[in-house]
Amino acid sequence: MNDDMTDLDTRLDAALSAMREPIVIPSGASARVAARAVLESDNAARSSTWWLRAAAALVIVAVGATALRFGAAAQRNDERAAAASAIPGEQLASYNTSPAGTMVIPIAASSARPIVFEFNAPSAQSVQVLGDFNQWSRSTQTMQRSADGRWRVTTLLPPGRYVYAFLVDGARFERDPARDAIEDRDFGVTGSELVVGEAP
Amino acid sequence: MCMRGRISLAALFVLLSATVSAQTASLGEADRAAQQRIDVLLRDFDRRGLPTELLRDKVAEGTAKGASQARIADAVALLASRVDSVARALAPAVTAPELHAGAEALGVGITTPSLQTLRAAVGRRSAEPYFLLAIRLVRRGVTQDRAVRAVRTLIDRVVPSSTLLALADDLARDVATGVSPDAALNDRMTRLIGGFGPVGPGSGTSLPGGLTNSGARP
Repeated sequence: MNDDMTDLDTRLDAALSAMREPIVIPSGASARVAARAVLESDNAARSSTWWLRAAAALVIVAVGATALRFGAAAQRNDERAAAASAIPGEQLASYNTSPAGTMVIPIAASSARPIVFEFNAPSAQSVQVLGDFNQWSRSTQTMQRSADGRWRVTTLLPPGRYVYAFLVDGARFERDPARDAIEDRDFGVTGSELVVGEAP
Repeated sequence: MCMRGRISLAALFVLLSATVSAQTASLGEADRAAQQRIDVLLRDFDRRGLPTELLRDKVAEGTAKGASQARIADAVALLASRVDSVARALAPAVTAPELHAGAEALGVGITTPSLQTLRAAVGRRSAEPYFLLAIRLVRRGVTQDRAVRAVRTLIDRVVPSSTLLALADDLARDVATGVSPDAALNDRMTRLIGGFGPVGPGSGTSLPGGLTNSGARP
């Protein structure tokens, strides 16, 4: 037991002596250690708080975007004010300035109204209404046939003027006899004119 | 069939094939050239901040109606020219619907000075419904001067858009019964606002407020 204690004391003394020895640090080592410490600290932070950083980034982006929007809106408002004598009554959405000096101002869409298109073609297999309200697309306004042989479709249109025609059986265009005929000088297909007014 | 006949038939076939092939190639080239014209116009509109949707809709319309690419390009070029004229005439600011209606107005013979006059008169309101009314009146047969003068008068009286639509519809009914367009307009305007200038030569050349039809003060 005493031998064991003596041995332990000896080893302790040796260890303490070793610890008391001055540590010689090679030149530049402190800088390397410091750099490594920073790097590892960063890595640790990245791995443990990535979600916090992501959230912070999102907040920064959102704040930045909001600031930019406010800035752009302020600039837009200034320019709209400059153009106020021309279009101030409109609800403005955005604009482009053309080099020709004309500011083109798309207005916010007014409230659309339901418009019924109707065409009498009892023997037709299909009727579609094509016009500048649906970019003359054959797939957007397919009409439904009623028992009386009339084809109908209802679509919402904002106020404005529209030119359209009925495409019967996917082959021939017919104008709407219920509305004004519009001569088509561009393509030679007479259409009809529809003017949608503001909702009362 | 003798050998000579077979050779002649083969030669004819080769000749026809060559002709059809040449025509197809020529057509393809023409289509490409037309498409390039359209692309140039679209890029120009885009660069200048003008709404390309108007041109794209015209392309879609021509395609739906089965028009050739060359004809579509011609139509797009004409529309682009009109939109450009309206944009310049209504500078410094114009809405897309005003551009559209203005281009349509030029198409029926209403002049850019007339559009400027109407636009100047509307002040804070959109000129689009007034352009549309002028178009409809001219389409009914009313002379351009009288149509613009009537619209200008209605602008000054701040007539609601529903009344503008009704006026055009009423005029259409009158004209359908055989009344002359100018006389019908005079009658309808009288009922609406109590009076409108006489129908006759030169009656539509002066506008209310001391403005001429060109928008310049005499």
